[in-house]
Amino acid sequence: MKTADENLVSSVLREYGDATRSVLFQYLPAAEPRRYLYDLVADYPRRGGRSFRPSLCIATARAFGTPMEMALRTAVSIEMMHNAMLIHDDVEDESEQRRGKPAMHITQGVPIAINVGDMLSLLAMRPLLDNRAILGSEMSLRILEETERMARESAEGQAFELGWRRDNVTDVGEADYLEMVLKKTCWLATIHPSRVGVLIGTRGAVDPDRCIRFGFFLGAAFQIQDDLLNLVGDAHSYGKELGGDIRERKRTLMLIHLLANAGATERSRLCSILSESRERRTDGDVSWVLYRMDAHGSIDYARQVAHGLAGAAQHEFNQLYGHLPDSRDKRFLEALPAWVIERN
Amino acid sequence: MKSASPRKKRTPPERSGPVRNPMTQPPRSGPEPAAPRDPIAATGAAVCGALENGVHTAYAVIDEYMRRGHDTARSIFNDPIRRDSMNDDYGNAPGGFTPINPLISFTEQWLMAMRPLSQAMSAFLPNPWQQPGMHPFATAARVAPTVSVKISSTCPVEVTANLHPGMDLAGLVSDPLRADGVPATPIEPPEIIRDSRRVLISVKVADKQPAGQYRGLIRRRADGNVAGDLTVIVS
Repeated sequence: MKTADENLVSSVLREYGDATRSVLFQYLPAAEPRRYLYDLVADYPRRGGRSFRPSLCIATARAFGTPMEMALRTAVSIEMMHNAMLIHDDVEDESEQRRGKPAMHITQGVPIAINVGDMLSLLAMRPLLDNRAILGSEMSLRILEETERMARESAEGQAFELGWRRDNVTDVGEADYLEMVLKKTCWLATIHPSRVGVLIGTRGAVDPDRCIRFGFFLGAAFQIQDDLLNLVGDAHSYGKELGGDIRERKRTLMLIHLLANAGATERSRLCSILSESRERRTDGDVSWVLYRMDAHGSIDYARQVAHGLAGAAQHEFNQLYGHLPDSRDKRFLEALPAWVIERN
Repeated sequence: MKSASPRKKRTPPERSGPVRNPMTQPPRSGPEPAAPRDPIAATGAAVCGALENGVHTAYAVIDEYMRRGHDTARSIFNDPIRRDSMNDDYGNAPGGFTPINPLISFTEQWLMAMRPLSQAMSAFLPNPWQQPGMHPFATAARVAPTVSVKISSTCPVEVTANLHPGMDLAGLVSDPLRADGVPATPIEPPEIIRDSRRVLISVKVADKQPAGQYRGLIRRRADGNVAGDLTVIVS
């Protein structure tokens, strides 16, 4: 697989991210109650982020020859939904940091954080309604339906992960993990932006189901790389606490591999650590799990799988977009499979 | 004739059956081995095939997911009551307000309420669910426009015009057509004329216009709303 064109990906993400944010903030009311709601609604979007999801939506539409303006409001809605889900995810995962700062529920408390997430997801509907002026009623309703589908798939995926953690399920297989990632991560991160981008770009002429494979492989590689960065990445650029996934008992590919390959004594200790409440899991426990993952090759295993999935995404890209004329946006989409596994 | 050297025997394998999932090693019968001193080198064999296994598993997962989706779509198609909706496989969805994502039931109810209203109203009167600029008595089928394109150019040019179905096609103007991703002088806004039978778009490409793809929006002069878009590829 080719090395990602880092400059191209960075410049497209910056350009489309800036365009998305400039419109996004117009949708955040400057009204009361500011202190407990509307100032906080703007908090996560102001922290930045790569704008990967809206950029994927815009670039897909543009690769089919459609101006950015046609996809911009849909991209804005995607970014708002993403931020809303991050707020709720941080509560559900008991995460402490987000984008290099304390998570919202740490600074504002759980009830207010949940309410802010609710409001942000509702505000994300407005750009989709405003799509009517530029895309027409039929296409706007279609995109709204796509958004509902994405939200439902994401909640189902999150339910898998939350349930496995609550019940301390230790026989999760690789296929279970990939199905969870398909729903929890891929639908919002890659499948939905691709689907609506194709719908807008082709005015509904292409079946958006054709995007699912590309989105799945790209998103799964993205998620595994994200999980790897959580263990062995740079704390500053990652923006969250390293080892947080172990502390939060997330069923990552590395943990599943370790559970499948650990000896009886190791496995017993591992299950015991996973059954403890977060406060009782020590730094020593986290280090021990990380050390055993390293010893059993779980980290290397996950890295190999991520590379394989990125290769599959490259294959699906060629099937899906290979016929399109050369453009900056097509080259951006083509570079993404390599980029998701090379980013740090 | 017997060989002088004793016959070599292969060491019996530790496992008694096939290992179909390379992630799962056979259970160890002896004491747990100490951690290897060089983990990467020691696990090289285990990692071998990880990539292929991961991709195979991923394809199996997504193929199964797609199969379930197709089965669901087929059942919707066969059910006249549910056929109208794109995502109506709500058989397992809770009927009430879900604690996981309250937006789900909100959006579901909103869609259910709005769809018949939108469909019924758009055929008769201008209303909030109709696209601004849409002809008030038009349906998409009735007003599918005939578009003619007149090109003035000394080099090969490909023009693609997309007009939104149902738009009122009187009073359309085009933005300048800007080059896609390269610095180049935009193509002057094409002239758009509506006569009784068709929409005529006249594109003039300058003699020294650089090759590339140029794009611009078509808008209604009255309110600036987008009515379509125009793409010109100069070879």
